[in-house]
Amino acid sequence: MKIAINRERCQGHTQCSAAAPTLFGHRDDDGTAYLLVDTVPPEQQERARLAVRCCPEQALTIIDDPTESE
Amino acid sequence: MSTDDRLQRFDHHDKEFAKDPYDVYQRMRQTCPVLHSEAHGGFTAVTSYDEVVKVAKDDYTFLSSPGVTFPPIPKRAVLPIEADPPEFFKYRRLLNPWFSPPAASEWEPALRALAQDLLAPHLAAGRIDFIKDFARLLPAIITLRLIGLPESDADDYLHWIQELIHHGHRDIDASVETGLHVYQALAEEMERREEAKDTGTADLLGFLMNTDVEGERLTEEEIMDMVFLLLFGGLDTTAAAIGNALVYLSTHPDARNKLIAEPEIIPLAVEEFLRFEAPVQGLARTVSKECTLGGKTLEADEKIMIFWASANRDETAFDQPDEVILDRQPNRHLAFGVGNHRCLGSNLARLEFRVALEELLAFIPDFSIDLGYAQRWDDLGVVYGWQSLPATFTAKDAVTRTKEGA
Repeated sequence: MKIAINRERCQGHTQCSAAAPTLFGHRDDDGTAYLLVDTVPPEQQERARLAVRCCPEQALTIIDDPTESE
Repeated sequence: MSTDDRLQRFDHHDKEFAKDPYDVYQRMRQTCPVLHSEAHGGFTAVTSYDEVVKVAKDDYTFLSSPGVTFPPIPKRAVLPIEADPPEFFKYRRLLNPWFSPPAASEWEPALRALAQDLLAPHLAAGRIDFIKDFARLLPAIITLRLIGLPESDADDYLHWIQELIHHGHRDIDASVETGLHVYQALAEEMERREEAKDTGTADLLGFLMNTDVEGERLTEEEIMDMVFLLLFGGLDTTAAAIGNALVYLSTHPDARNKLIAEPEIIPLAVEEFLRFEAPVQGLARTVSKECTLGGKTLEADEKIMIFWASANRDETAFDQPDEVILDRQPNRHLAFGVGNHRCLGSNLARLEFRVALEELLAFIPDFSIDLGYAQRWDDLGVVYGWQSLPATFTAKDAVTRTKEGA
């Protein structure tokens, strides 16, 4: 599983990192989100899904890897 | 007069509305979430989550530059909240780094020390006014420090800003005068720095005075209009949020005990209190071109009010919207707005709110607010909060937290 951040949409609400602090960080200049991992480890996928649901701007998208088994 | 007739004259500045707005919002969402009101010469009230988001995210159809309070508070445009792209970004980019999550978190030790200093003189007496002695001063003093204005002027700035926020549209002449006090105080501080050849950039005012934007210095007006926003957004709003939460905790001992027992959920509770009683109930936009919203046609130049507070109780967006669920998650509340104009100071506001709750619950866990003597602001057209919240608690001699940690 991977996550895509739409940088046009992200306004730095910081709700993603509150839900999944190991997956998201925030830029010093404007507070917008960036990913701390390339691929979401299996044990954190639930948190990743929660983070996606927490974003008020709907700036996050899950990209499932079809070869990955859960 | 039928309910519908009354809604057609809906006025967010009405004193009766200020006593209990949430039933009215619910009726508006159910009967007409995009509603035309005849009040104040006519405007459209938007109360459903989806429509509020749609308006807030479309800066080209729904303009902020004509003013975000309605009827307008008489003063120059406040920047960048009353600017539209691309001008908006010029100012926002300058201010963002001062309020990013890491920049805000640097204030935590100072905030905690200040919270303890504000509580300390009241511990032996066992009584305090949560607003006058605590909630209004904590954000005000930190905001003045961040800007670089004298902390000793906190009472003056609070008085001016609260007059403008709560009564600004009522008496235009008085409000112009009040606004002038703010501009004059800011101009004097800038003049003082210029005369002293103080080019320090450690505080925000110094940074704005000594920074080039696109090869040019900012004008004195631009600087004052940005500082005005920080005063407008930083003083009264956070005080209101803290006060609203304390009233809830005073009347819901189970919730208070849960936060005392599980302080780790306070950050989620902060978000939930912001959802439940948004301090900024709504803001205005101006329609730039004919469009449709929620099945209604809006004309160019029409004024609209988008109500974050109502969107936050929309049953299509939240389960059990009228219940406080302290650890609600996800919680896509709109108390800070959404889109480009989302609250600049949200990270600092959250931190102030969290530290205020942590320190209060640690020092005086058994407080009881005397609602019989408490006073609400009688106008929530801009900010929803309390003016006075007298409280009592078990007196203690020494300054000791009942619980360590946090």
